[in-house]
Amino acid sequence: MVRETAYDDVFDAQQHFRSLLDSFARPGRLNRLAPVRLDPPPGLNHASVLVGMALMDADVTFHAIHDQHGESSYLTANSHAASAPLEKAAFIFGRGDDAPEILESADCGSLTYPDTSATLVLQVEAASEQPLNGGLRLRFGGPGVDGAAVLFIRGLSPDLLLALLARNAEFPMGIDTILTLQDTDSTPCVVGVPRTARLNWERV
Amino acid sequence: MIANTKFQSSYNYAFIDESTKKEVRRRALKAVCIPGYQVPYSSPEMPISRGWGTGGLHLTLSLIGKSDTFKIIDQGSDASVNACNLREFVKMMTGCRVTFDTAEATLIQTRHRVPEEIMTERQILVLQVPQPEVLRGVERYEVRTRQMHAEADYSKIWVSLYEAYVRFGTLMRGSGYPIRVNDRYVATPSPIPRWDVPNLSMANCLYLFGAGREKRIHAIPPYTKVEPLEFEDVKFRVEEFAGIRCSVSGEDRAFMDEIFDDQERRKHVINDSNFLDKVKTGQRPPQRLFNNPD
Repeated sequence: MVRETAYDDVFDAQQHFRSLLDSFARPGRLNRLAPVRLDPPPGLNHASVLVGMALMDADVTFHAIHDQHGESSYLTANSHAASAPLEKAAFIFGRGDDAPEILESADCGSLTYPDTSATLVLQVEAASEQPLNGGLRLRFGGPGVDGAAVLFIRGLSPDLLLALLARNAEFPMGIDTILTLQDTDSTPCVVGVPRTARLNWERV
Repeated sequence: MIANTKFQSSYNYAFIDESTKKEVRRRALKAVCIPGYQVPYSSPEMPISRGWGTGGLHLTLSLIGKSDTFKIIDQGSDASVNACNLREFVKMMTGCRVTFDTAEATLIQTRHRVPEEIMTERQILVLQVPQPEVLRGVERYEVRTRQMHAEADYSKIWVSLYEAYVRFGTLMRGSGYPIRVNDRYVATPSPIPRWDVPNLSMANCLYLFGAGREKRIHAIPPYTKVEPLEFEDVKFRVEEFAGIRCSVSGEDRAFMDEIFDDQERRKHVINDSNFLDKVKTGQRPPQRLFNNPD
């Protein structure tokens, strides 16, 4: 288990939070996070770890879908958040090619308190404003999008997207998603997909 | 003399401790994801009383970083006591740059006004809100208003608008005209003049609303539809300043303050102080103006 020391709890967290706020305010925008030297286990990319460290503390719980290499204990050690079963977790760390069933028991909040829902942190292989082979051409609409935003994403399964849309169908209840990835020059990046996002996609 | 040791210790960056900041940040993110919905949050103690701008201050201090340029206005003015004190405080706690220039600021905290100048994509406006619950005037209990929001049951607010029309002949609500955000939640734009309400819709910038005393955060993301509540036959109107010009700059088409000078003569002055400064130098910044229906 690695305890990260290069991370600045005050200024890195603040910068990364501002990027996340911008991502949720403007779905479909690829936001780069200021890189930090990290040594996460293989199941977590840098951006996912930085999201966890920016937003989680001892007050919240998380669930790591892939936990073969100590991912959960790594996240606990570096954010103080406790691991919890999927249906109770405030943050869910998964991968874009996970089975759609992971969303079935995720917390969507309630009609009176839709803000208690889970936040999904989903790792994808790559994303770009330029065409990418072997992925999806994802069109974003809804609040925060000026007309339409297009992003090419690899490593995100359409089945999982369909399941996400199904869980977000009953607004205001729903799950907010952060797509995380490494850029080609290995800069950690995030894309916000709030529950209000309208999504269309085609394979390219 | 007893030495004061308690207040000699240095504060955390931006005053609030990191754990509380994280909590405010998580709530702010949820608020952005559910436009118009009021997210409950902790509302920690501040060195000013609750209800004096703490909600705005919580958001500002949780958002602000070293690279930010901060501006704060109170009733459109950079120079009012409240704005000056909070500006001093934020500067003292963060060491970030402060400015009067609306265009230069990355983070603007405001009370009672949205700047006249069009805000850009890289800006965030934080509004101080005394009463976040738009339905409070028609329903006393929180459980009930929460249920009404959950069911999108807004009949009572429509009735109250109708009553205002019957009584005053116009859709007047003092300040804080009710808005519908993204076709779902009815929310308060905070007490701003009706003049500013159309600027909330499809804006370039993000609007965050903090109500410290009531412990609620809500948000309007950029490019989000915001409609003032209006009837099919009675439309929403902004304040009219027909035939009125600013006594300082001679300009019109801005929200005006009515003032009386020493000789008790009635005058008008542009309310937004930075806008007035720019107008005086002959560089009128771009505005979004709303035309009242005929």
